[in-house]
Amino acid sequence: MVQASIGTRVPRLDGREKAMGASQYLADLKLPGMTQVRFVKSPLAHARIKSIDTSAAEALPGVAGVVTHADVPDTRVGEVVMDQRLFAKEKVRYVGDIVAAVAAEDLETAKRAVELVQVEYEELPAVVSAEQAMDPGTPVLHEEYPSYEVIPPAADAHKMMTDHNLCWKGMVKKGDPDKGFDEADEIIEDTFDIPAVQGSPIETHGVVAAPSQGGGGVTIWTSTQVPFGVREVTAHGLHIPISKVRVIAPTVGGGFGSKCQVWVEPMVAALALKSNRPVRYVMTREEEFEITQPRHPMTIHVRSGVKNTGEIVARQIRIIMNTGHSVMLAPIMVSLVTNAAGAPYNIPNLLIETVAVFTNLPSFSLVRGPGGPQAAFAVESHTDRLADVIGMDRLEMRMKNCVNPGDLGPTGQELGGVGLKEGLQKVKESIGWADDRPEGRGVGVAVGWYATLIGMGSSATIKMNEDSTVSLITGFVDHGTGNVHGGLPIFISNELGIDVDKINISSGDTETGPWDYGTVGSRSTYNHVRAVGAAIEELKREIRKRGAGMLEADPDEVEFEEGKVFVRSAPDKAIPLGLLCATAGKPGSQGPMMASGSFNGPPWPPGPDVEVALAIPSFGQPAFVAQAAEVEVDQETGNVKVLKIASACDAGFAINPIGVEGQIEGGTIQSLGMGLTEQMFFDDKGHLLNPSFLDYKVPLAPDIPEFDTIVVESQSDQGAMGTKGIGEAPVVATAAAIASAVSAATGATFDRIPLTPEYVLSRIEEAAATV
Amino acid sequence: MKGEAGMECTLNVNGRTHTLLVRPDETLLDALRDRLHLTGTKEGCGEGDCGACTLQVDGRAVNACLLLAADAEGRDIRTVEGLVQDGDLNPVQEAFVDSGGIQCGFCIPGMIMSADALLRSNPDPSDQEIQEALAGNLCRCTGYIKIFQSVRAAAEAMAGSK
Repeated sequence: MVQASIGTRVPRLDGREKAMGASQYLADLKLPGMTQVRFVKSPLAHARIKSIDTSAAEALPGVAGVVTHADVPDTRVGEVVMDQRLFAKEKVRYVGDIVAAVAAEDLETAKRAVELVQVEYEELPAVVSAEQAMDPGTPVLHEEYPSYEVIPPAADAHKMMTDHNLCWKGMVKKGDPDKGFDEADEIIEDTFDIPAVQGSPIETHGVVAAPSQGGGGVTIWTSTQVPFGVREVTAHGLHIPISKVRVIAPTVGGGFGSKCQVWVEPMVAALALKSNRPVRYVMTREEEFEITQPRHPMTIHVRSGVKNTGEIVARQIRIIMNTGHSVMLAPIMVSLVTNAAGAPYNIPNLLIETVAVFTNLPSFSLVRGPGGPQAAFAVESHTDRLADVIGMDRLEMRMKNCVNPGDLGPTGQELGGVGLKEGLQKVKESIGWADDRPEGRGVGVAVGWYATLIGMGSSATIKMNEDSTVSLITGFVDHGTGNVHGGLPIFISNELGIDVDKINISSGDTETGPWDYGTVGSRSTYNHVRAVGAAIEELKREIRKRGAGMLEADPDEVEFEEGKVFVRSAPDKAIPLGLLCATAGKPGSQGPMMASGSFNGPPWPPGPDVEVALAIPSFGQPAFVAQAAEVEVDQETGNVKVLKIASACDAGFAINPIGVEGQIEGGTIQSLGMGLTEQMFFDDKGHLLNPSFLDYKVPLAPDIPEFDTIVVESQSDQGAMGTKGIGEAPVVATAAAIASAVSAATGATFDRIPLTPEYVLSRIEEAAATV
Repeated sequence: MKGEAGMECTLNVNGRTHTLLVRPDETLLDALRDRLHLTGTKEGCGEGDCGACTLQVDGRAVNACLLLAADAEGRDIRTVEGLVQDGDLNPVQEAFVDSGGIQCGFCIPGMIMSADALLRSNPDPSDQEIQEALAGNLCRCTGYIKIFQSVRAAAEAMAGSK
């Protein structure tokens, strides 16, 4: 195989086993005596629980155990505010809220046992829209909200959220918006509605749990992006020491953020402990749709003032997030969408206010680039109209107002490399922006950005093996992006001068791997390059020292390449790397050889002249995107055909080009789905009406247009070889670009996505009627 | 899943014959995964919408979750495990690995079985034919772009080796 240089095209290391069908995903795991788990779930969106009777279920032959709130400590859990119970006790707050878990010898028996659990509910009015929930006439969903505890350093901020059903709020203010609006030549205002959509990984959630050998603890296998988060919440919820909870992520089949929430694992663990047997829960696809955490539905108001010469002088944004029944990660979500809505523009006067409101729906939470696509659809559609109002070309409007290298961001922060206008220019050429087109065709463009989540803690150990291979031992997870199996081997290969196939990887086990915050927020490559880099530096020192000893030279004369160590002046007298760690009993044994490294960092700070009230104050080291689309619209049916997409994403520096392209392509197509076909439909009682791939339409192979993948490398100077997180930014602006193109093709404007044929047609007809 | 498995069923899988006891309502997917321990074929939805369970029955790409084990008797069933020859990946598998067509990998066995079935019957497909042949295989990670490139690379490799 290949000794890789940074930036070369190297297939990922686990590709072969995946192509063979040999990778072990959660549902492939089998433990002796393993039982099957099903949940008892609430059929009502809002109700008090009067009684729970599990006796008939427990008596059913083949049932190994049943657990309810009575079987677990009376403790609330959560990742910021601890508002969730493992099993519902006083109330259920959404359709699908979990009341009990059953383990049985087989799935059929488990399903029958679920039906035998008797739950008596007193139905309460269900609140499904944020607007309803904010009305003081509706029920309070979390009566005890101020009394919940928090995980530091959230510092009781939730106690200040006193408005009716308010979960969280945040704000950014820069300059003097009132004054800015006074200076404007034109002011326009728009309101946009974006529905809930799902990440929908092809592998559903799943958990296997078993009591630990020797007792007192539990081992959990789970399809997760955050094994250490699972460990912490499980330990807290079940009152077990952290060190007695072992969490292992097997091969994970996609997550997109839905596997960042810690949620069903403690429940399944409780069942393993009560029944004293291994238990297995694999989520059905219907459950994946109904009870996991989708993207936040939002209503976004945007008001901007612009000068006739094209400068946007003031912008005011109000974002209302329907956050569903639980806090989960709402404080983080509020930060992310508020930052995303700041968008990569130089606007001197800016006010963004965001609220997250409880409702009786699934808990909306982190899905790839949380808040990004919603904010971009609103801000970019609105910015198109600003351009139209003053008669400026829409793309020129972006060139006029977007940030340049060296500019500060919307929260006054330093931006690192800014490859935005470079991307805009490239998509402009790729899509043929200025070309003549027949009627019914149009082009649109949209810009966006998303953070690299720097810090939060990553670490790694790397050991040399006697056969001149190295083993990387980490606590983080590759859920498909290639962060572990794609980019890191290239990095290590380049640093140590060994082939990529001489690198073994062990990841995602909290017992063997050092602590890691998890694969979230596009943080992996940046943070792991720094943590692994630190380990490698120490290993290199040791290689030089031991090599110098064995070759009788000075350490700075020692080189290593192609798995061998040699003195620079005598390369023909090389010895294998593995000889440096030859174990006891062998001649010249120097003992085992390994090194560890870690990296942490504070949240990216905002600038001094901006007022920020956000848990994550600022987008750091952001990746910028410029995305363009060409569409053809059938004016009689409203059907939109996307002819081409050009997606330019600034990844800073592409250590792993195949991986970076994969993220750009995958993210862009997910956004295409949001733009045209994806929507979760809830009725007014909080039931999801389309919990299947038949009725929830994700992009299929025939839907993919001509595609131009453009990797922009702005080479940030802020660590980790200038690389930026690229997992999320590509999902941000494509839906907006498509809406922009449809608007150009038809003359209509759009206040919501997806652009279904019915909606497009209705807007075309409205536009014609007002002419 | 073990239940009352009282019905004898003989399945010819990857060139080998297996006689097993199944439930009358047991799908081919469950029989392969749970009784023959061939876990390469995945379940993504259990209702024929996602294609993760695609395998080949008599050379045609089929959703194993929609076929009863009993109805697969007497047919030539091929799973992803059967593509490997003497430890080597077949050209379609090789192309997916080299072209970056694999991210999380969960859709990949089904995707490869569909692509392999296409190329056996249509060795030089157009881009549109490739897209349509994969219409029943959902992927959420790749956006399909490198999957199409993988199938194109496989077609070229297979043509080149003739």
